[in-house]
Amino acid sequence: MHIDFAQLSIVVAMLLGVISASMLPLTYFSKKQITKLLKLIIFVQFSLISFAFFSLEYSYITSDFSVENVYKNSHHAVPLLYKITGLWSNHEGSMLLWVFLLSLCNFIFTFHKIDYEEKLWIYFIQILITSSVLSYIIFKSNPFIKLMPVPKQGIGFNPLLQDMGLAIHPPILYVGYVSTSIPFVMACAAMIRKKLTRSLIEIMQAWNLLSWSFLTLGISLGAWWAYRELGWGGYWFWDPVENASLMPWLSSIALIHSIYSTKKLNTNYASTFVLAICGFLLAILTSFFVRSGAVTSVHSFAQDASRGLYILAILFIYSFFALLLFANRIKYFESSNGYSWVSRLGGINISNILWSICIIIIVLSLIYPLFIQNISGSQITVESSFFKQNFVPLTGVILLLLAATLPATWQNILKIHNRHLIYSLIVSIIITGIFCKFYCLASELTYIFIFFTGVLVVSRMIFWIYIRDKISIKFLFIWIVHIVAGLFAISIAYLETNSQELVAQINENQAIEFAGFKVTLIKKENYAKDNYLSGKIILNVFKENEEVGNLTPEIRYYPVENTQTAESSILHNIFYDLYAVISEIDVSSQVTVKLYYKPLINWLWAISLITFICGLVLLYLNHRKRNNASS
Amino acid sequence: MKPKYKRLQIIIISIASICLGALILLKSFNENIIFFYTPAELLSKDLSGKLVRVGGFVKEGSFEKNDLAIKFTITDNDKDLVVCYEGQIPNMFRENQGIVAKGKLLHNVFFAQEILVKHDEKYMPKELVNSIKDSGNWRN
Repeated sequence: MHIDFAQLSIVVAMLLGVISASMLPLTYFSKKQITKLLKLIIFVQFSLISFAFFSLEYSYITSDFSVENVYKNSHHAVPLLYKITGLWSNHEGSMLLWVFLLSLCNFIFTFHKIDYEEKLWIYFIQILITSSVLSYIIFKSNPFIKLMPVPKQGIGFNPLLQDMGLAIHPPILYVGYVSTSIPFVMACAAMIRKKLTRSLIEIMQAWNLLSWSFLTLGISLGAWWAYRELGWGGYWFWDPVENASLMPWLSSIALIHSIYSTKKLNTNYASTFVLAICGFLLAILTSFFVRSGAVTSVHSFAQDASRGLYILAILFIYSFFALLLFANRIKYFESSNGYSWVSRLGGINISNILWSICIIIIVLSLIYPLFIQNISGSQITVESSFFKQNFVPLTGVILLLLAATLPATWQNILKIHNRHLIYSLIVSIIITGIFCKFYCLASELTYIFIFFTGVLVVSRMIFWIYIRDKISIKFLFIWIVHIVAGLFAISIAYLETNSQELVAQINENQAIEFAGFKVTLIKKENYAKDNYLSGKIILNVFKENEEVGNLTPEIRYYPVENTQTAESSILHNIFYDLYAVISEIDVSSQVTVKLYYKPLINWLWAISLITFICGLVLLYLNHRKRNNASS
Repeated sequence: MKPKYKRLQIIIISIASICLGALILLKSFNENIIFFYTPAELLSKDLSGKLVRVGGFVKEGSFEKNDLAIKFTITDNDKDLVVCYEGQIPNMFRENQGIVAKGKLLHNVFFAQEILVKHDEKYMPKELVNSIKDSGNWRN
């Protein structure tokens, strides 16, 4: 019953958008009243969409299999937590989550203290965007379809998805995607009104920082999950959906710096607008198009080509209007010029060009296979080696720019403390040399370069803060977020060139030597629990006669889904992970175990978390400054 | 120099760099792409020894394993192909599951370096769906 009302609510919410569009001519008469009405419509849309979202959630919690979405993605035996998170484990439900978060952002935005003249256009475009997303859900991706007769049991839930990291990964990532809509809407509104006020710039930066922080956390959660669950010791596969998620992240990083230069120097209006527009378009591309089945990936859901086409149509309409607006109105925004390219500003501008090239590389890698397929009928995939050759070195160059220009002044890089850059270069070359000679198992030029750039950034940052007179809290966090970027480069380079793996057959009480560890099989057992059966072994690990811990890899068989998964076991340490996987559920005979040694991998997760926190702290610090300034 | 010439200079440099960039990228693409075939296509063309991807679904009753390797047959409802893989059974691997394997064909046996199984019980790779539909062998 409630599902029928849920279905009705989203239809009404969508129609409100149509009604809003028809009110456009009335703005000639009373802007203030229309703005108030639009604010009310945003609130009503939020309420209706929330009702729809929580109705579906209620159906999941009560295992109401009369709803097709619940039937396909849940089961009585699934733990409650994963019944709840099952709502977004599939395409239709995750799109409902997406639009719910979008309407939430729009609702929160109404509390900003801005002039109603600014708000009018912002609200209007927000309502239209929400309604267009709702139209996709209603016509192409409806989660409220009912089943008759009602099945007694759901068809189960993918056991690989029953994991905390993966369960919260979509909501966090989606917060990142939907919040790119706010800078987009603000940029469009500013262009319509032919001015971008200081308070608007600051609000835009705040939402952009929110978006970037959550995207950082969301992407790293996905990588962390893949590392723990997929049993290959890898964390990033350059899969199209993974690459697509990088696009809004890259765009929002570039936008952070662009808005910063617009705020400080009244310049770069064009790049701020373009990046704000592209960020949202890329987020739509990532959320909808890539997952709709148009692009082949191990992540994509069903193959319904018409879904991809619908999204492309929506994207085309947004792009057309936004870029038309840009072309027409950019002339009203005069950027101050006369700044040298050899300065901090120059560093930001060049790095923004490089970030854009990174985005273009990814976009092309998504389009090229589709293009070849339409031309010659052959189906191709772009290998990870392509990204290691093109994308990764480019990020290294951006790090070089960071080291050279961040500590410099806005006017001229040649003025300040560049002997420190020379010292950093010398230190980096020496350390990289030592790294190559003694600490590098697999000599890959790309990673050696990345290692070098990472060390350069870290040493330059250390010199910079050492000679700095005044260290405000804001400076400290900006410093932290940049130095950890260097540490991240070092970690990845070290990890990729020094990881080891071994496949071995092992008997009870037998020991194997691996990466300086002694690993002994001490026990094997089979057991049954919840919705699975398991075969498990216990490995005892020693390093130089000191016990490190136990590894307990398992194979679980899920009878309902008729599938088995490998549960990896990992020993965590600040400096490395030791990782074990087995492949056979029958542990009574000889066991084949695969061991991985992953040095510095936990630095990746720690740095991602630190970056997320820094993003939010900087958001808060900017907001506090804004409130102090206005009062 | 005159603004007109300066603008022209910028335009020429931009176009030149874009062309250069495009050439580098295209070359890089061609070195780094892998073609996808169904078993029928792979067996009919002479692609021995070339690194390719092949997709199909695992035929019931075809799965065998010994200590360090697994062997199974995949099919596209047209032709069957035997796949050998030195390594562990990937997660979610089971009979009738759609998979994509990357490797080389040698003497009509496919030696896989990598097997990808998708995280969705309805998965059949898009390429496979297209190929099967094209060959007229689509059965639901």
